[in-house]
Amino acid sequence: MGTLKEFLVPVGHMMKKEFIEMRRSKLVIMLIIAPIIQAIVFGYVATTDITHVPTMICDEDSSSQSRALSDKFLNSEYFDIVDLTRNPQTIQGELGSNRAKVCIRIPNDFEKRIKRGETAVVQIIGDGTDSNSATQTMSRAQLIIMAFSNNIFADKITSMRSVVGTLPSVSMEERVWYNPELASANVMVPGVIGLILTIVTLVIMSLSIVREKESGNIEQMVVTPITPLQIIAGKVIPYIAIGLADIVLVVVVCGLIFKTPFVGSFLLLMVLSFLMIMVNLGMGILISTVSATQQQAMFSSIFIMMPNILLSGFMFPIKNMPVVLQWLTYLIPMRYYMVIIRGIFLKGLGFMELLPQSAALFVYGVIVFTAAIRAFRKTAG
Amino acid sequence: MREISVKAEKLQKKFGDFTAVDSVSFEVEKGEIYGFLGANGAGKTTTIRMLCGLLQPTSGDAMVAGFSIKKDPDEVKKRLGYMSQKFSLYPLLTVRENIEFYAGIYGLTDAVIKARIPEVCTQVELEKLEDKITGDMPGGLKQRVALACAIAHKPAIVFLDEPTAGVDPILRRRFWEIIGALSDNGTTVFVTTHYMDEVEHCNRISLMHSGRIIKEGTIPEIKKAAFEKPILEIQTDTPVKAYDALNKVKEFNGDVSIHGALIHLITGMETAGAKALMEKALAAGGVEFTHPEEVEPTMDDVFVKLVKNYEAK
Ligand SMILES: Nc1ncnc2c1ncn2[C@@H]1O[C@H](COP(=O)(O)OP(=O)(O)OP(=O)(O)O)[C@@H](O)[C@H]1O
Ligand SMILES: [Mg+2]
Repeated sequence: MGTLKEFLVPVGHMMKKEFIEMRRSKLVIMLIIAPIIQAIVFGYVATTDITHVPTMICDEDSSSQSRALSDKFLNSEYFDIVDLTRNPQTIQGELGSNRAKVCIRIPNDFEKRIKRGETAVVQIIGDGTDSNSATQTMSRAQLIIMAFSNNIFADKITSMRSVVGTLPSVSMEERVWYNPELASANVMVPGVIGLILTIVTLVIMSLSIVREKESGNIEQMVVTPITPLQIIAGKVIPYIAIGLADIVLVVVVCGLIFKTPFVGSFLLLMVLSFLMIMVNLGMGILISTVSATQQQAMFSSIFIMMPNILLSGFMFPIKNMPVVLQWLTYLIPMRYYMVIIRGIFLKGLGFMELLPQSAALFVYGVIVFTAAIRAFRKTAG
Repeated sequence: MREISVKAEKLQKKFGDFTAVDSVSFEVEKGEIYGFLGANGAGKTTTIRMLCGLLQPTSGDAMVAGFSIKKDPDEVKKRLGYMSQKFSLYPLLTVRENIEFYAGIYGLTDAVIKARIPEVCTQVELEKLEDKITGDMPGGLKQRVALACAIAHKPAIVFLDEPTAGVDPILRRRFWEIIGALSDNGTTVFVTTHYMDEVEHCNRISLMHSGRIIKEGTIPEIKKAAFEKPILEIQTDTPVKAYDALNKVKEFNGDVSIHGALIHLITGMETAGAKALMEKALAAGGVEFTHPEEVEPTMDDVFVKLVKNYEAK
């Protein structure tokens, strides 16, 4: 009689063995310490590049208005003014030699145009070689210029009040939603969780099964009454536990170091992360069934991981990608997880709002895991 | 009454066009040590893998512990122990943890396992080593741990695939004593090897050659089948010269072989006449030699002869 207990006892022994191996092989250090280090490194990389950007100001106007605008940049912690010049000829050299990453160019008719009530134009010239940080720097510069322009507008309105009476005023409040400090650490750090989960589950899982295949242990198990399903359960459960533990760790560490806000439901994060873990573990098992050596498994894992990193929106926003690639991203499970994890972290989204992504991951997980069990049955059957 | 433990009937395994095991049939009695002897690639491992349910036979069937490997593989699995060519232990686990793991996946309860560990450790002579890390142990001891894992659930039959490969001779001898004790307790032992000297420990053997069993029986039976006539042996410092001298004698109508400093002459003639003729030929060839005598064929001789006979057919 196949009672539940009969099913679970061998699974328990598999798990126990797995944990002993993890502990003695020091793999546990890799599984606990590495994610923390990764989170910290990614967090710092993400935050340091957006403050203190070396900046040059080319003020061709030298008027009181243009100086007022320059002051705004001088007082901003995001911009370090390395050069203040009147001569536009020097811009190319400064940017080219990387002395400055961005140039704010104020044309010589700046004040004249403002006085005449015309639109004054300010140029922001960025270094596009690092497009990600360039985009962020430019939007930061834009904020400053917009605030400046609002002030001029407000002054004008006030001076006209005696003539036209009170005007209905629409005050514009600078506000970036969901991630008010525009700190990309807040966007990156939750993303790192996705990356770490993939490493811990997909890579380590496939390596661990292939190692047992190489050493003949799987074959040794197949001659016992243990079923392929029990073997998989025994191998998978410890890694689910580690994956979930890593999430807790990264959330806590990032909260402490980067003050990454966590506004959503922790329970929901765990439940939906479980879906992602299952997708990854399924992939890991699939890889292990087609790999004869640990080296092959490693290569296949990296091959699967690359698109998960590049096309998931983890590093590059999906909406900036070519349309064809945007379509491709729908095939990438991590894409859904990124929305989930950032949504829960930064926006406090609930289950209903994340339903499409959760459903996608669920379907993905069922398909991948079923395929994995079938493939494993065949190779170990 | 004889109780049959393993009964193979026309077992065959093909890998594509290549037939690795070709219609082998044999019977193993309960409590017997049954040896499978053959060169590399003969098909020993493939046969064992079919009997253990690791490979589906292309055709034929076998009964193991009373159940068909085709129809009731699950029943078969409960009753057998298997020690593969690689030992397949977890090197980071202690002896105790390894045994516990394998006993555990057979579904034994913790209480049973706890009582069983000292028992098997005594059986395979690993007392006091229970808490050693397996990976740090020498090959000869690893082999015993693997055996302990294979017999922890008290199987009716154990399959040992080249259990002594790479183990030093003294530990190999001890290992065979352990196997002997196991079979005395009624466990059937099915073992493969290509160490010819080891088959002396088996009750019965099969000689396997390119997928077929070319001879089966007890060792005296097999020796008899290979050599109706005796073997003459001499010892010499110039074996090649002796070899040439003996090969020149047409009347022997037999076979000369070199075994280090020993020369074996196998002939169809009766002993006394052959001996006289041999001494004459050697003297004529100027070969100095000692210890001319009639000897029992070694298993090497037997194997070579039977393979030759088989291929001549
Ligand atoms: N999975 C397989 N696919 C194709 N050929 C195989 C497979 N397994 C074994 N063979 C071939 O079948 C033949 C018998 O192999 P087997 O391993 O049974 O020999 P063996 O007697 O155990 O040899 P050894 O002493 O080297 O262990 C060999 O020629 C081998 O190459
Ligand atoms: Mg073999």
